Amino acid sequence: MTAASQPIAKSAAVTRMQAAFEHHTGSSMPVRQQAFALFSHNGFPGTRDEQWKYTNLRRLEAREFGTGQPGTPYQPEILKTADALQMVFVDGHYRSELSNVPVIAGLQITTLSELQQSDQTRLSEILAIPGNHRCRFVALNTALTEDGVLIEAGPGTKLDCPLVLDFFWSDAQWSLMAHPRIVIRAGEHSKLTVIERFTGSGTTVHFNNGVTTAQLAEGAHLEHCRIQNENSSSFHIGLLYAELAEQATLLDHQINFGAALARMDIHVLLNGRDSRATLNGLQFATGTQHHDTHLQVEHCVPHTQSNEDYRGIADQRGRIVFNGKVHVHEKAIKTDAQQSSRNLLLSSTAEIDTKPELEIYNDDVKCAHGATVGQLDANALFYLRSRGLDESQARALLTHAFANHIIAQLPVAELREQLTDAGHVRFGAQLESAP
Amino acid sequence: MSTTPQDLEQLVGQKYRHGFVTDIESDTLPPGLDENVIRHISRIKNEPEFLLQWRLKAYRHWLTMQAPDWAHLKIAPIDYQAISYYSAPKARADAPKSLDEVDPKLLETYDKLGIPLHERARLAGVAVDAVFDSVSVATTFKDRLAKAGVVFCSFSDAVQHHPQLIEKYLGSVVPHGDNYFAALNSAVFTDGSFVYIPKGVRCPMELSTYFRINAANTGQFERTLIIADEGSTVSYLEGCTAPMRDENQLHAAVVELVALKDANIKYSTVQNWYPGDENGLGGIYNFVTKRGECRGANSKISWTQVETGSAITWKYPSCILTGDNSVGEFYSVALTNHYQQADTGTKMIHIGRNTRSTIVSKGISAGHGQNSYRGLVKILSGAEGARNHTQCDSLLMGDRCGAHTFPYVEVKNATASVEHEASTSKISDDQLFYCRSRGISQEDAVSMIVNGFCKAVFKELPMEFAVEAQNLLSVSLEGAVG
Repeated sequence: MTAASQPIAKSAAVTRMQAAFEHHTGSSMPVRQQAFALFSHNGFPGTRDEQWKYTNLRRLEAREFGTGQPGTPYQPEILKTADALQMVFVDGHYRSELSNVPVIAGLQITTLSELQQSDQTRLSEILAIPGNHRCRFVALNTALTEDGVLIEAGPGTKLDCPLVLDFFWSDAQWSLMAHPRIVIRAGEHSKLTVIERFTGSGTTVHFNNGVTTAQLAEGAHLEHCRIQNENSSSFHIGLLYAELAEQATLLDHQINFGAALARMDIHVLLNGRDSRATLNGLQFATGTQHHDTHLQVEHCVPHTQSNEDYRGIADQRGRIVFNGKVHVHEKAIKTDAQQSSRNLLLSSTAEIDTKPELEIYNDDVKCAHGATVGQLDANALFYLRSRGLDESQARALLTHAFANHIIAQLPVAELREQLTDAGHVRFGAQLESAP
Repeated sequence: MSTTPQDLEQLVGQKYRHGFVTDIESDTLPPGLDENVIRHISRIKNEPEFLLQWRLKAYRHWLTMQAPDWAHLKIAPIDYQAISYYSAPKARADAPKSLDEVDPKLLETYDKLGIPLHERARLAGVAVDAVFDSVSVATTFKDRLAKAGVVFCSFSDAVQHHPQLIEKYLGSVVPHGDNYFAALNSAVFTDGSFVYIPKGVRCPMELSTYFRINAANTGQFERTLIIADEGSTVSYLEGCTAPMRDENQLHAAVVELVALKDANIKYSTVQNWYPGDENGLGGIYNFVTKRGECRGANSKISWTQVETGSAITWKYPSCILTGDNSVGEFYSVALTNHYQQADTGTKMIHIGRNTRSTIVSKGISAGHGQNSYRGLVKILSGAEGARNHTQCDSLLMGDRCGAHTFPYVEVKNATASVEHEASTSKISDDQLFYCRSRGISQEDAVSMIVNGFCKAVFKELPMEFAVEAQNLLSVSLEGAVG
């Protein structure tokens, strides 16, 4: 931060972003200008920044990304989910013709591109950087977001079916970037499920920088999933920022399978009494993949509860980074915070870096965390071998069992099945052929 | 327990009113730091050329460095030019001439801690030549050590008599530019302790006992080097449970341990420097770099620390486990009361095969105290079969204190297994109520529960210190609950 006062020579990457910003339709909006100024002042974070200690963005900075055009022809394979609301985004732009959004009482869905045309005041309001977030990618997203969605559930609205947001890349041969912004406003005692899916194909290097903000009013319940399955050369950066009022509950699932480099920041503020956050995550890095998740849970008031369960698997030359931070504020008595980070290291060229942090400023709390890094249980492997499974089948079965603990908690059956199948492929299993 | 916490703070506090040394005597350098000061120190101590060059290298490197700000600490800026970097250890004119002149409350504290009579005089800062008993006892110990071939002397003596050992091992574990405070220490250290245990020797006594009665004022930049040659064993205790008389605010010590093949070093610390008053004014800054290297196969280094003093503690006793099958251990109790801050923990770097490490850290926070555990467990790719278990518990007393945990785990070997667990709790009302119903006073009950909480660490301390450490916790926590 000491360097902040001096002007820094802008890196080529920042200059390229500057060009993209100047061509952006919304570049005259003050909120975007301020955000971009913030980003260009600080630039991309380096590994000397404690938050980015293990994640080097050199490869991301070195690359040039274009901006996707609305209406690029593309026919995505959409998850067949019974009675789900579906919104499809291609190259960062909403595609109404591919989507299915029936009118539901109490639920209002507006895309950001609509707001950009019709109501910039409202857009500025929802684009404001949440909680003065320091993450530079949030500023970049705010400046450059082309599209996204504002989801407002009125008081008492109970949505039975999930809302699936599907993000695809077209078959473009050049690298693209997208900065989708999802804003969720869950009214009092409302209940909804939002699933974000990022699906990649081909080998073109894309860069997704998404921000999701959620405000949960009193008694609201939000179940949120993020399934990241970009192609293995892409960059994927994202933030989930949630504020919970009294008795609100957040249930979040993060599944990281794809991308060359993926970084998720999850920042949850428990602002109301009896609010509760459950945060589950699974990261699986193989090849040369790098998956980094940073969690920050703030217990700001008395009687709040958080539960984190994160699992990581690193194979081949993959690398898993986990940083979970629980911050209990001075007045937040009767806090109950549990944190667990379990990791499987399957290869000696892979690496796992985990850091479960606690910051506690009062004595009337129940906080615990645990972290493990280990291998598959030799006894369990031996047992499976004795039942006739070969080494690789046995390993795949056990790895899958480890991962399934998180997958099994996902809300939609089709999603669980799809991920289980994807898991089979990824864990190198040919279980079907097993005796 | 008749002493209130205020009384205790008073009695500890009054000896520190001098602050930085101001009266410049003939053998004290004026405040300030430059290359001439370093040359001067080196000349006074009649050091060989290599040591002077090493100091200068460290100083030049230090100039390029910035004071670290990553710790979870609030540190007021330190003016390094306001410190006098050399002051010959000599009896101060205003030191008390005998125990009769020492504050009776201080003696009362010694009594509570169970400090042997003959040691009280030295601890109270009574002029050294008045303490006849200790000198004779020390001589007896010296004979026994010499017979075993153990070299145990001040660092300056070692420079004169064993320069080849110093040249070979100094800076081999903590290099001159390791970190800001270590670089400063390397440039200006004035004295410290040196231990060499020859091959196959088991040191005939705990060096603790000897140290307690013999350590002269080694100044604020202390340098300790312990070398355990193949197959040797040594146990060393630094510091002591009694409140120490000390005028220096900044303490930046460096401790280096080298364990060769099959050697075993046990290093215990009890630190009870002046923590500042109950409003957080004054107090010692204890910025220490401690590191040991298990250089040979099957070697072992064990750190045990009880940290109750100092306004700010910044120390991470670490083990580099280079040798195959080597073992590193870290047992720590850190207590912060009033406005004390501690950022302490350990680093275990696993390099060799089948290396094992254990970390047990107990943090206790009371008042406005802020206590952080910061640890690193790093398993490099060659460390086949490495094992680590970390347990890190915090006990909070009061709603204004803080307990924080920053454990870094970095694993690059798929046969390694690492476990970290941490919990945070307070003294439960049920436990207190039970003790009270059995007729135990509130303060005794708290002290009993806290001692139970720390038991896993205390059992690692040499016996007589374990007893004193328990008493020390009780004294330090008086008035913290209830």
